[in-house]
Amino acid sequence: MRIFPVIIGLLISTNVSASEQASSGTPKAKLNFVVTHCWGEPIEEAVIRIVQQGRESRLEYPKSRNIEVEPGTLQIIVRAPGYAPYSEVREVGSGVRLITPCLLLSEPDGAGDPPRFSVNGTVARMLISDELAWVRLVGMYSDFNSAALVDSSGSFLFNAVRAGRYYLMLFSNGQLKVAGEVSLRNFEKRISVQPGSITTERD
Amino acid sequence: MLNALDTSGAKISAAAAQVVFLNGLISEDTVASLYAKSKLAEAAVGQYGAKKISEHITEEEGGKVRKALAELNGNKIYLNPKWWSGGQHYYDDVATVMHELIHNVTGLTDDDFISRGFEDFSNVLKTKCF
Repeated sequence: MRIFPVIIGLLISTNVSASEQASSGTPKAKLNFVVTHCWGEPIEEAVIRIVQQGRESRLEYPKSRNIEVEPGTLQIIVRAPGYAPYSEVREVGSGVRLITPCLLLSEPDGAGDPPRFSVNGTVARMLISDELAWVRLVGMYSDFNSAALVDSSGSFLFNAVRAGRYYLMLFSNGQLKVAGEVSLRNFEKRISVQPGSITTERD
Repeated sequence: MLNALDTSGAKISAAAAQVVFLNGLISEDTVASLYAKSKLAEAAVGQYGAKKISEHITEEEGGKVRKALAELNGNKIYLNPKWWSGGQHYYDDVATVMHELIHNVTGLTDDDFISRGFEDFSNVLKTKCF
């Protein structure tokens, strides 16, 4: 049984060392990396590739954890034994930045980027009023950070979520009402927000 | 090819003598148990929770079905009988068994096979071995 492999390395380029990348005179972006599993387990070894303007740099993580690059758009590709390949494109400015890719296990019989999914949630009636209410979902081990409005029926929706551990906060009228940790999986992606608790349910 | 995966024909033969085939459609084992004998065990418990093989093996993702699931570093292979037809697909089935045995022996996943240069591993096995 196979699942479609995903081609993640679209740019073929020359390997350039970190020191070469840092040699020009413009202000640089210093990228620090912490790579974990999306439930927090440390990753013993990974290769991080940074592709920018057709040039590629490689970090052998965790021996190397940081690199200086030109500010701008870059693609970050991470591969680790036993884990599905990870890829993202992001914009970085000058200065120091911590990047925290979280990896998901590769299935024994399945290859490629694990699917992203939509997360539906409901907020208990007693927690919502006529005031504007919203929820914020933050990845505990990833850089995910997104907010969604709670509608008048108490429902909210997040799209393109990866499996992992998150922290959900409910705000109403600018006040934090309820907060808690949730584990989201593609088969367990319904969030229920009750007074004092946040839980997930199967579809 | 087997050298590139840090294994050998002798190891695969030995694994074949020990393998246990199970009906994935009725298995109460968890998906996380596939990783229990690997260093990925704790991560698997987080990622898959209590999800059962019987739930997982019938899911289709991206138009792809699950024909079999192998225990990493173990001897269990869970089958989805729906996709084992024999006949003109006999050599596909044999290649799939070999594919799963290699998971059993090496503890490597399909993404690991790709990292080592083997895309569409079952087809590679079918072409080279059968």
